[in-house]
Amino acid sequence: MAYSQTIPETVAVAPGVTLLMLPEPRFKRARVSLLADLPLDEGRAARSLLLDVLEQGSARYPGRVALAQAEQAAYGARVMMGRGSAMERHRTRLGIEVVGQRFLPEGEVVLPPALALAGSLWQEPWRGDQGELYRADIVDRERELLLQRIRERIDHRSEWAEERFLHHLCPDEPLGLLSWGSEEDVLAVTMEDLERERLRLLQEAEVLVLAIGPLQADDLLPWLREMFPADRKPWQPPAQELREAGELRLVREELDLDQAQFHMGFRLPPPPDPQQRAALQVANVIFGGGVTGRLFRVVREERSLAYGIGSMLRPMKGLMTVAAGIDANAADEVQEAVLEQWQDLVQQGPTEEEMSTAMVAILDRLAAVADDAGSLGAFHQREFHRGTHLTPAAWAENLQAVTPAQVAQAASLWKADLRYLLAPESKA
Amino acid sequence: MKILQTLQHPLAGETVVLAESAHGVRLALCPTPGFSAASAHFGLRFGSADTRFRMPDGRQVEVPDGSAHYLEHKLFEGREEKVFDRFGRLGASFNGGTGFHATTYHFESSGHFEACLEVLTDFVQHPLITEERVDKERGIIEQEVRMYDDHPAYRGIFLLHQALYHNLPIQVSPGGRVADVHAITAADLQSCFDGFYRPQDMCLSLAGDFDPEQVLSVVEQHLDLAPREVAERTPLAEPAGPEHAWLEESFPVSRPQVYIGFREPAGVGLGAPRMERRILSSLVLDLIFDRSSEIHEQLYRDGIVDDSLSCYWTDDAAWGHVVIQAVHDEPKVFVDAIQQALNRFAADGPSREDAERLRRAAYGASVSSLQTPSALASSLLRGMMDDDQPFATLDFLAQMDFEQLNARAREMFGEERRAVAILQPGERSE
Repeated sequence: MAYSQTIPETVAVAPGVTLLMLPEPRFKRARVSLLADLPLDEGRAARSLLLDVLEQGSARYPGRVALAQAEQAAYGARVMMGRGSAMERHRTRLGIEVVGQRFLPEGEVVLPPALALAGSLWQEPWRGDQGELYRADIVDRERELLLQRIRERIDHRSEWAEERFLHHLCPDEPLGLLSWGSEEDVLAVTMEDLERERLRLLQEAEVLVLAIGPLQADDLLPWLREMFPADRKPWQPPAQELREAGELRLVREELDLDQAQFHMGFRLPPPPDPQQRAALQVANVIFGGGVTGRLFRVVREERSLAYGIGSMLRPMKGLMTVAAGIDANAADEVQEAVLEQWQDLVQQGPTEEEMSTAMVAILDRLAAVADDAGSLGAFHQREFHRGTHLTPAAWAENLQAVTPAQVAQAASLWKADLRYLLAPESKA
Repeated sequence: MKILQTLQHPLAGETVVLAESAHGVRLALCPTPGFSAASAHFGLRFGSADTRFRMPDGRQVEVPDGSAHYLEHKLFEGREEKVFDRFGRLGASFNGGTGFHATTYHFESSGHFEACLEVLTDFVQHPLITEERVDKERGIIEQEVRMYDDHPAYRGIFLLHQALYHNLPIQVSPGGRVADVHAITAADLQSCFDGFYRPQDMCLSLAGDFDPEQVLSVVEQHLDLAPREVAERTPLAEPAGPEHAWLEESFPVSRPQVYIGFREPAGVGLGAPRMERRILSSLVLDLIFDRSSEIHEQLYRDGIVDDSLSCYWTDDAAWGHVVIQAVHDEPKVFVDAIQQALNRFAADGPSREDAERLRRAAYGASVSSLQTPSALASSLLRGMMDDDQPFATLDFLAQMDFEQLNARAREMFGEERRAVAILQPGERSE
């Protein structure tokens, strides 16, 4: 198998703003993703509402209709905004996608108008008629809609269970916070708060721009330099605070639902180097990282207790989590199976077959990373934020060097911290 | 193996080789030079709606809802070794899916394409179905069904299907109900397989950095299921018009969820007529409910719709309907306002300028979606199963006539063909 050896072209656009360029003429669509990170602080509610307000129009495109029509005229260009937490930061996203020039009729261009549209959203807000920072009717309406979305989270049971699980797992850590802010936070946001947070995005956020597909750095640099001033003072992310697990805690909550949601959280020390990170990834795949993992084989295939069960790593945060939809009565049996398989992995190590199966699965997907702009972008974004800057080919070398003893060692560092169960309401 | 046609498609930027195996399996191959992964999708037009049929020997069969999906699960058990283990050793990503009218199986592999192709064609053609094996899977499928049962949108859509149709089996989700899962037997699944899994009805699409002729020679060795007669579908007759104009159910949601459907008077079969109706219907919905529409903007400003609104067109050969769904505190107010907006739109018709802008956007989105080998193989499989030429959507969008859209816009929203389903906040209905 061949792995991508392409090193992204890195351009320092402005202080705290980095462009990673991966020109790729094979792709039919060009994709630009701008990730702006700020702390998960009290400003997150204002930033959440800000995005909803900015999406209603800009000075150059006053109104949703004008924005949407401009996207359509550019052959379905897409300008998207989003927010959420990532690595204990509050991340605001601005994404632009346009179809490649070779698929357009002669004389048509779509990237410049799409960039102009995206830039106007962040740089040229649609001000009020009387000089207000934003239009009051829009802020009121979008605030009410955001509050509704916050209240309706509970309707989506599996997402609600995960949110409650993380809340209990990390009760006083940023990961346990709702990234939108609470209802009270959203109610308290003022227009001045919105404007302050907009300016923080432009002047203080740590910004990574990933550009992939049929485009060049020169297509983007003037636009980026206009958006981010050369004298900006970027936020410095603090070193991550790590927690250790105590005794295994059990939390059960109830709701009107059909299928119980089972979660377990393990704490672990973040791997200090790529080789130990590779061992941790292999350990996770063997444990519960797919249909060949132990959890799937034992809990689903041998005992028919779940349709899906798997584990997920947040290595930089120092967490490994397990999730499954099960019958509530099977929770203890599933927990026991999870702990048994983990202990066995630590004590006996992986079998030769497990090592080989996990390795071939990881390497197969790694080779395919270069086929898709989303996967390629996600890979290089992770490497950038970890500060390791590996290519898929270099990462493959780390993976291939992992030994069974390193896998067992990686698993031995996990400490079970919490079992959370969202169960159907008990009948009186 | 017979190569039928090699097609250069400049709009998609792809080349497709169409072929047919000795036993009648239809194939489409798309070479993608420079891509690491290769993908194969294997499917047939047999799905959860096919519950009543007459076997070639004359025996009438009626299987429980969810049988096609259960069969898909059992095929993954393999004959001598689990498919999970076989694909697992090869490092492939793989899955299957059962819809109302089709079942598909697919994989993607960067390093072992030909070996994976052997696994795929083997397990789909050569299952071993026994009562013991069927029983073992019951708990797993029950959990899968329960997983969907907790999704309000899933529940709402099937409530709408119950309102729109009298007998059509799409009233039940492809997985069936928990009771169906408990009722399905090995004999049911064997009848489904024997009745419908025949080479003449199977399609295989492949995309990757390969030589099509070399791959065809490999595939031919594996497509060994002998041709046989197909079962005859004997569905219940479906009366015209919705079964219920308004149907409500309580469900644990914070606010009422509203689902509006407009049912087509008749199906148009497969091939170009269906593809054209699908695209035109989707564009009409965008003309009304996309954020670019003044109608939508007015509804948004009036507080009738918010970002919970979504709409789409869905169909098959014999049926089709529009779905408009949203969360709203006053369902009746919402439904009335939507109907008034639709009536105004049907009377005025679309503007040429709006139609052209949407056509361009749809074209750009269609081209962009044909990116990875897996996406290409998936598109080619759907095309074959729907009797469409490869990338027919792009061809239609490139030459679409405004008058077709205008005519479609004026016929879609007759109130007599409307049904409404509501999930009201409350305890789950039994």
